Amino acid sequence: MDIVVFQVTTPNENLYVTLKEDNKLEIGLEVKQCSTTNVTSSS
Amino acid sequence: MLYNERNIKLLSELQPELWKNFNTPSKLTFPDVNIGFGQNENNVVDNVVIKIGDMVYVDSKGADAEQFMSLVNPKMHTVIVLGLGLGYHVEKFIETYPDKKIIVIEPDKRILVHAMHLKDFETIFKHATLWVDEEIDLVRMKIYEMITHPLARGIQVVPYISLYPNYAGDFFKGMQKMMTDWAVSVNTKRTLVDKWYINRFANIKKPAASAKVFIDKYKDIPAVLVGAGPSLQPQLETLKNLQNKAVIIAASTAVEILNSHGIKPTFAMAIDQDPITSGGLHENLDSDIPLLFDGQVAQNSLNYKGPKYRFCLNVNRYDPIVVPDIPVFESGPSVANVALDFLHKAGCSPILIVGIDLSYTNNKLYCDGTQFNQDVPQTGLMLTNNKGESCSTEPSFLSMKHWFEEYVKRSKPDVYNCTERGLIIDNIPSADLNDMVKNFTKEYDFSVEESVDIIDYESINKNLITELHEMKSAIKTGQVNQYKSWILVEEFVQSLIYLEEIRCEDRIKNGMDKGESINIFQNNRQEIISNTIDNLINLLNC
Repeated sequence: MDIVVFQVTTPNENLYVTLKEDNKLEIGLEVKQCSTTNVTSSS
Repeated sequence: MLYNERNIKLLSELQPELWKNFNTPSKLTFPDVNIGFGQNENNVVDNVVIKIGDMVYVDSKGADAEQFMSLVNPKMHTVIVLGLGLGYHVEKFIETYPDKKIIVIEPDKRILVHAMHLKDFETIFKHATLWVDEEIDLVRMKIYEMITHPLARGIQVVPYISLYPNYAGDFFKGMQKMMTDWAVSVNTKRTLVDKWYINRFANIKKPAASAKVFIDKYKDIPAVLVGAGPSLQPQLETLKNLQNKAVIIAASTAVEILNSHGIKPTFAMAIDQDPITSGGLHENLDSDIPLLFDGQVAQNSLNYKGPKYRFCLNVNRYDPIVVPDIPVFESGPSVANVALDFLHKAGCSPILIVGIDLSYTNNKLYCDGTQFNQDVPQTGLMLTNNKGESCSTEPSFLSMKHWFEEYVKRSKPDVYNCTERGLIIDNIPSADLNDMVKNFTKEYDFSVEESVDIIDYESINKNLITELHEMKSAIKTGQVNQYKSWILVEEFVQSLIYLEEIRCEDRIKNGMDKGESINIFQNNRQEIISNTIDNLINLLNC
């Protein structure tokens, strides 16, 4: 199960750091009122 | 207006740190912001009015608190909110989530001073942590300590009302950067630590000299740090003319690019554990350029025929056990970051940076002249470069950029970013390469004498193996961290254990009995440590 570890909420976007089942921390950037862009760390 | 006396008493009792600074002049000033008391329709003073230019803001008790609460993620255990106002949102949070922690950042002390006249602050002073009138760097540092604490997770940073645009902009940009860097660093460590140790144990056996001979060797001699970014192309001719006039260090792939254009750098540097890219690059390099390396580098990199010099990244815990006087350079997300610390510690000044695009200039990954794949991943992350153009980048590039920014701020090397096209690096002034090198007229002899240090790794490894066996027997009964070799195990396991801690807490949050969840965690932790010790013993025996 994915776990949100940290979240930074700004007026325009939400940045999430999520722990995935495979031990990867995924960085997700959700732009509010726009499409969601997933930005994944390269490592 | 009757509340002030009581609030002051409460503040002095419940928030002693804040109280100490309450009557001193403000550290932060906001000359464009006017603050005063506001009246309601019945002419009763019940509000704080904030005026910034044409904008007038009055804290709206109901709506603003609700708006704030709608942004709060109930799964987080700590909320850091920017903005105090009259604190209705803070009270609402405390009332809704009495078990959660709230930290309130208020850059303008006048807000608190005014607000304390208008309402009772007992709940807030009792249950919230207040950081008032604190400089942005101090706030960032405190939050960094929180997020990197072994028990920290479930932290949300959220705005109350977006006033003080400069402070808020710096704050949120800083927070995003901090979280991104943290995630990239944990991911990197988790996925690569195994390869690092395999390489460290194998590479200690390879003949090389210590790079300590270069510390302070090039006092006030100019240097150029060369990255492999696509915008390096038009600067190659200039670099060709600098070969005896500046210490030129090629960061990883850049050595192949310079070599293919007939430019001989003073040094090449390698830390990458990848045997295909980095290893393949150095193994087949026909040159006598001194290669600086950390033990984690791909083993085939050290098949390089030229002179090799060993240094140690500050995260490498093995090499200093075996080579006590090895020079230590700061680890970063890229070899280019490490190269800057090397040049600084070698005494070079000024240091020019080129080819560090930190983005996919012209939709390419590298400057021409390398065998490596030029395919550019689609990251969807677009930023503006130093020419005002939109450019594609990725989190690992941003991590490199942030590292440079923090390093330069702290270590203050005399450095200039002469990259033709790329992301601006804060704290490093941008400059034109041709302008900067006009004064580089003096010629130097940068040749080095090749030598090899004798390292008694066999007896040290033998002792480590004996101790690791003892440690394994002590996992269930004793303190594993009393052993000297625990630092090796710890480096290996810390990311995985950290992630297990997050899962442990999450299970409890989702209703599992605390004892049961901790038992699962302890079993997983012991298994991770035990497997790691076996792994290290096997590697040391190889």
